[in-house]
Amino acid sequence: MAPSWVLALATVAIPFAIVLAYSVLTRGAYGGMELPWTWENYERLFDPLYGAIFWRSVWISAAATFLCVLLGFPLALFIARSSRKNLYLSLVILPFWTSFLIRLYAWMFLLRDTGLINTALRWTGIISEPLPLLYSGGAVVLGLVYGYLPFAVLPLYATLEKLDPHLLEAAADLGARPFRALLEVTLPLAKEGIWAASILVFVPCLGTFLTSDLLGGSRSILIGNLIQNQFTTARDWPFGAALSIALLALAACLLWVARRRGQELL
Amino acid sequence: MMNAVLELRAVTKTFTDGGARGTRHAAVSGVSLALARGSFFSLLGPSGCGKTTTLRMIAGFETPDSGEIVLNGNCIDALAPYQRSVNTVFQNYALFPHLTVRGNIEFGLKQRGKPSAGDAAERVARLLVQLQLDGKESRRPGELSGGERQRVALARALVLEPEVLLLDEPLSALDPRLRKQVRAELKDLQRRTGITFLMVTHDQEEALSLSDSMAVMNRGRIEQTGTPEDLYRRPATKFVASFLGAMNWLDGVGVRPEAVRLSRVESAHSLRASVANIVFLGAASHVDVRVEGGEVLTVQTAPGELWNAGEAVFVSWDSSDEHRFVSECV
Repeated sequence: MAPSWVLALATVAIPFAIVLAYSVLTRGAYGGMELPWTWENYERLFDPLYGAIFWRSVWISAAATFLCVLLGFPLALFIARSSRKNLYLSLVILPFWTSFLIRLYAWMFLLRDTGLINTALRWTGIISEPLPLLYSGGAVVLGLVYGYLPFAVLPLYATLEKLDPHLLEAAADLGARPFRALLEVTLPLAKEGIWAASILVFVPCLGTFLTSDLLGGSRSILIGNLIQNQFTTARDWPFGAALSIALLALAACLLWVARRRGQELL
Repeated sequence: MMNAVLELRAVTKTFTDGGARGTRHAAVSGVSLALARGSFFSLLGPSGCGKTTTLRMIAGFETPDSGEIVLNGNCIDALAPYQRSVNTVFQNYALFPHLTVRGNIEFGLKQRGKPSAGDAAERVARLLVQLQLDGKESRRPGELSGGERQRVALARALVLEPEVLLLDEPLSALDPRLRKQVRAELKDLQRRTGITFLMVTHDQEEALSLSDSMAVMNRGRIEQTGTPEDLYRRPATKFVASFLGAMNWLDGVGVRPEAVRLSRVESAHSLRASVANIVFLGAASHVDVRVEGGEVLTVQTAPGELWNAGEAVFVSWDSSDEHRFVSECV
């Protein structure tokens, strides 16, 4: 009891309080923070420029989440019904053994103008000019789907594995073809897992900066990059803190909505 | 030849335990059955005797290795479960937890077309009343009692008017007090609907009281088929004799407790014995007596009779009540 409170205080409450305090201070002349207290950082959030970045982040995260669940569901179903569950689950987790940064570099090698994909396509004569694969919104979504797919597969697997196989037998017995049984029995009963997967993918996607930085280029800047900029080049820590709090509030709202949907996996 | 709605012809199913190199064992071997249309048929046997596997092959969840399953004169071996006009009441009911009572009952109708169409809607309404589920249409399975869940499982299967309704231990999940009442309702339901019921059970009392005819299974084989009375009075094998009701064995000859007479007076062919134990059962008592030579016999006595432990008695029975079997291992 006591040690867990200390841990929670040290790792969550205190850092959160610090960020909260930063967000209502004034930017110092040479970086850092100064008094007086101010709401100005939060007022700046309503600048249309930042609004557009917020929206782009939400859209890209939503697209990545949708694709993760769409791809993760059949994969999780396959694993749940396989007799070699542990092997396949290990394979799903295997990419985590390598740094995400290195894996993103690998994608850059694949996607860039002189990369593997463009070279192969030009060599076979399908295209004459390289396709602009890298530095696009699509590349960011691809990178996010690639990176967060395991976060979708694991909770989906957890619900699908619990599903009573007799229910599918009952569906077949009552005349449901396999696809109808999937839509009318498996899918509704995996609702909790789908919500958990969506949250587990959407929330980190929303705060991502590495994927968009490496695969997105300068035009598809996301909230994560914006926050990163405030703490590095822009040297505006109070505004960066305010952005962080706004992002946190958005994620908290989503969690609250998901919890109200009755899912218990998180 | 009777009008058989369902026939099994020398159906065999072998399972492999523990992967490709595991040992193979026959779950069902050479099972042949014929179910009369509109009858209540029970498949009785101890757990692991292959009765559930037999049921699952009829439903289409398992494929026989050899033999034929014939429904209404057509071999259905190649049909998927969703193509067979048989429906199952599962042992744990397998109700869809995300659907209401109505949703569960309409599930099968929806697969065929419109559940709200005249005839189908009427059938749902009629079954809801018949199974005392009216007023509970919008509840979910989690909000129902065990008995109600069982009735939903029945309604869900019966609404499709199957050629044969398959029931896998339908009463085993119920409270023992409820079981007898539901048993009577089940029989009544079968009579009223006229649908052929095939019930799998390990409870001999259930099988004897419900069935028009029944088969006793043991180790993947059918030991005997017939009416409950046939099987009880004229068991063909030692297994059937001991599995159905109680049986005393003396030198390989079986005698039912109710066929043994207890007396304080010696008569021709009576054996000398002493009362070892008395079990009061309400409507009757079971008196265990030790005959000379050490063997214990159970005798069923009328409630008015009074016997005392240790008392010297004589036991006798008619030779027509003796069950003799060709030598076999039990």
